[in-house]
Amino acid sequence: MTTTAIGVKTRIAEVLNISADRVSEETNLKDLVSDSFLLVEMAIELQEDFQVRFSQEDLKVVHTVQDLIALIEINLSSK
Amino acid sequence: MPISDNHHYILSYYRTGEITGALFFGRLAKIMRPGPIQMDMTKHFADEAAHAYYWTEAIRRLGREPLKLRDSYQDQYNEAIGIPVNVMETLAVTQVFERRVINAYARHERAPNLDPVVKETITKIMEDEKWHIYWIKNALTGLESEYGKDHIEETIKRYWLADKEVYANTMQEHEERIDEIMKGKG
Ligand SMILES: [Fe+2]
Ligand SMILES: [Fe+2]
Repeated sequence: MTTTAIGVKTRIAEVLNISADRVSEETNLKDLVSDSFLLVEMAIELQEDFQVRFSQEDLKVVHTVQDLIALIEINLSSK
Repeated sequence: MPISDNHHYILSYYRTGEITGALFFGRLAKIMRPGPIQMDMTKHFADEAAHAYYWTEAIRRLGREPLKLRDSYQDQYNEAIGIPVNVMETLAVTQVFERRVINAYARHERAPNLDPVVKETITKIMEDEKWHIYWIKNALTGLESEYGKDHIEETIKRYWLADKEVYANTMQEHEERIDEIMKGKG
């Protein structure tokens, strides 16, 4: 697992206030958040932590934690 | 003189809208990093909460109790545009929302035979609403170097179109009531 992957999973767990072992690569993000605003919060936190930026459009294809990790890694590698 | 059913409904709707705004901006204020945007968003949230109180008080002064309404426009709006995922997008949504609000109040303020309590409340709220538009515009300008001017403009335009469509679909009854008020039949 990459350091980005570990970082993303840890941050998701923190923002959502859940235990880290509930967050695996295959986990569907919708299963983790009880209300859509938490997704906003999570997205903003991750962008600030990893110094990347994504839009609503980018998130349309993101369903699982792995998709989110990939999006952040692509963003980081294109910097 | 107690207010008409139309006014009762519309003022109750304003109250509900202000509460929805306060809750949304309050949550944004809570997740933002320290800085000028956090500061202004916190003030903005406090203003909207105060507006909800002004309408609650105004309705009671006019001899009625606020109606408990569902905000179907807001519900469908969220559905239509999806959730904003970065600071620029949240400000763009806010700008569209604020423009809608300020236009509605400006129109209502021109209604003939407007009850002084309603007029006073709109005038008081409008002062804050002008500042809301102003600070968001400035904040978005400040984000141009980071997000690109064109991209910001496209985002606002996309939200504005969604807003127009949702409004047309959900606010027919509301519009009919406002039309009556604008004819002075309030
Ligand atoms: Fe307001
Ligand atoms: Fe406002």
